[in-house]
Amino acid sequence: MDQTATRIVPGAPPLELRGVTKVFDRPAVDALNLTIKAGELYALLGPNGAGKTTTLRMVTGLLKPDAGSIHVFGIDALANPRDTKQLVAWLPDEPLLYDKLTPLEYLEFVASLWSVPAGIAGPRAEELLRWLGLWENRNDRCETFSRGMKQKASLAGALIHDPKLMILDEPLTGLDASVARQVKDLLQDRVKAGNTVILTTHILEVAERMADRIGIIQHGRLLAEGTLADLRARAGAGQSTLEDVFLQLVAEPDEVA
Amino acid sequence: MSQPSASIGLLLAHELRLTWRQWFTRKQTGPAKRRRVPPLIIVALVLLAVIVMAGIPVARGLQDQALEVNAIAVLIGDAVILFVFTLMLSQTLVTAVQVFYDRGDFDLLLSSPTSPTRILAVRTASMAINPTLLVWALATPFVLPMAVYGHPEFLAVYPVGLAVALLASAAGIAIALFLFRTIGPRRTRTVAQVLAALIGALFVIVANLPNMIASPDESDNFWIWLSAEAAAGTLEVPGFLYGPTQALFGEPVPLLIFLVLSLAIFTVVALVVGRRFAENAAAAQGAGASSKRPPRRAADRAPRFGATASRAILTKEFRLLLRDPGLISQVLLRVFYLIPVTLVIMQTSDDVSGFGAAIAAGAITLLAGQLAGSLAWITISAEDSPQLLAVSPIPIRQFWRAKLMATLVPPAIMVAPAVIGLALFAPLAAVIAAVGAVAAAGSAGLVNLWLQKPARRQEFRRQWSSSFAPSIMELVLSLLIAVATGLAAFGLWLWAAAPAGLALAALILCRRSEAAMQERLSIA
Ligand SMILES: Nc1ncnc2c1ncn2[C@@H]1O[C@H](COP(=O)(O)OP(=O)(O)O)[C@@H](O)[C@H]1O
Ligand SMILES: [Mg+2]
Repeated sequence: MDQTATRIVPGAPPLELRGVTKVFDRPAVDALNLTIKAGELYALLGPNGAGKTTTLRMVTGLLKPDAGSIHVFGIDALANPRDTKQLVAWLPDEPLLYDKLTPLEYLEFVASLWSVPAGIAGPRAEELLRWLGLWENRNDRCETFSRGMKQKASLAGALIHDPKLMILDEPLTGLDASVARQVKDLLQDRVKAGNTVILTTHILEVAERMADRIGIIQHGRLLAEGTLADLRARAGAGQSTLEDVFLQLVAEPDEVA
Repeated sequence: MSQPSASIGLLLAHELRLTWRQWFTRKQTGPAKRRRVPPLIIVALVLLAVIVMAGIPVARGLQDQALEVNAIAVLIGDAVILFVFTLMLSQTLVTAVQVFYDRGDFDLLLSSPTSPTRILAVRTASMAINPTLLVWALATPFVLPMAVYGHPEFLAVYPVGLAVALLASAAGIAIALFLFRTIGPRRTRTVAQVLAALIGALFVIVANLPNMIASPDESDNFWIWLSAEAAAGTLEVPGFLYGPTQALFGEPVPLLIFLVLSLAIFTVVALVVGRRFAENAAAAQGAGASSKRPPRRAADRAPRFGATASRAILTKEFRLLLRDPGLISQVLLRVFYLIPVTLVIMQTSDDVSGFGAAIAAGAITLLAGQLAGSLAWITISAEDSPQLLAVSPIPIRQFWRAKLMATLVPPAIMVAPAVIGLALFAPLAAVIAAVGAVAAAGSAGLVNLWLQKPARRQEFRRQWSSSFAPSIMELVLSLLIAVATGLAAFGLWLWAAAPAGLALAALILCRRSEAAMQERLSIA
């Protein structure tokens, strides 16, 4: 942990993508440039198939980009994936869990993978499980859990190593209102504590309510980026909602591609 | 019958459909593409072929013979019935656990206006119907020609098959219920699976018991003695053993007694089960709780954080393997079948010096390879959370190493006693067996690593269809190495070189670079 922390380039942004490209049958991510600032909650907003998940999978090292560079806190993620992975947590839309393990056993496993010392991991696990309302279920196998409980257990796993950059793919889909609220609060707390969060969503309201900055993506390209106010201003009329901006942007440009 | 609730016929059709789907659908590699494998036409053609090629010749052979129920016939007839019963029981026990505790539709059915007693009656009845149909289908190619060629009495196979199925279902349900009440739902699944495997292997073991306990210098074994007695006409069997075989030979009174008795036993068990479940269901509905599976609670213990990554991976793999009742029963089944077979071969061949030891060395090797292969498939291809491993800062190589290690430990533990036993009378063969076992297990693990393809743990029983390439390679390699080991243990070193070389070549052929494997994984 500490060696990695020392490699962090002071002042470097938590995430910087330059010209990142991934082509499947056609470009899923197309020369994407993106810079996430320290301590912000950034929402990548776009319709289904826009390339959000593909982008994040490249950042987390699940997928190799065809071109471009990715830097996490100034560390080259393609050259030194182990160092950047140590700093990042990934929470996909399907919970990363083992049905036959209990939440506590799962946290033990994850903490070991990120080399969290016992003295830190133990108390943090208890704190997380209590806070997420899973403490009573800490010795139950995850196979007995509801979807929301599984998401929460998976979230606890993402937080056990106190990631400086948290990456979440469609974090609120399929969660009931109270769990969704808990997740929102938690992400806001992370940001307040100086960490950085990036999430994707295809739901405008989520981006509108939670994010400090929003990037609108379609066909693997960033169409617009900024705070809610910036985006409104860009669309002209001061009264317009994000939905108006979004629909305008998404409808407008590239039928060329 | 009351109008609004589902009719028994409808419920029964539902049950049978569920079971038949389980049997006859196989998951294809693509997602959610399902195909019925044997259409009825193929089944019919196969039946016809068996009738023509085996059934009719057998029936004609027996055409003019008077078949009487003598002592040897009783032994054979009873043995057949017992054999069918144990096979059925090993199936019905598993089905009982599935049907009553695992299948998700119980809530749906019990929440419908149909009476729980009726649902349960149908459920129990359907359990008996499937094995009955199976036995009928297997017996028909022989029974029908025999009926035509002068032995209509063997049509009694149909009612006897039904009676045995009823008994097996009753026993399966009773055991499941007993387990559930004594050791609780959590362990019932595991214990039932293991018991089922044991029962399935029971017949093989029992049939060999007389051989195993006979002292080695007695030249004639039990079965030879038995057939000699029978030929001499001096064989005597207790009277009560005559009943089942007489029923099988179509004698009306024994047949009727057999049928009525099994029906009575089945009914009693079904009623007891029905009452118990109806009570539970009513209680659950009253409390507003669902009758879903109860949580599996691990013992409360101090958490152990701070293990090294490799240690943590091993712990996790062992936990997952040990919590997989289906896997445990599969493993035990292989062991149960192999042990008596090996013992028999060794016993019948101890006059040929070294031959028994060579066979044992080969069997140990094969066993180790097969077990390691299954475990490797489960730990590597059927990893539940590949993404978690991929985003962790641990290099994937370290996961693979730990997983291979997890794969090799159980076969080592299992094979060790056999190797030690072998060492007592053939030390060199034991050393060779140990080397062979390590080679077979190691190569099975490597093949599963190199040819891995993400799959789901639940597909274990369909491993052959979901991961064909590693499965076939693993079998071929195990066989080659087992043959090489056997030959080497017999002293035919030069001959052993050929299969060993082939195995090595096959292994080299399967080798994939780490980059290539990662490429495959990230595309999948
Ligand atoms: N593994 C893959 N193989 C082929 N095409 C893919 C793969 N993953 C994503 N795509 C394609 O890339 C595009 C972007 O997908 P994705 O990043 O999942 O979009 P989003 O997350 O924004 O909904 C889609 O057109 C999708 O079909
Ligand atoms: Mg997506």
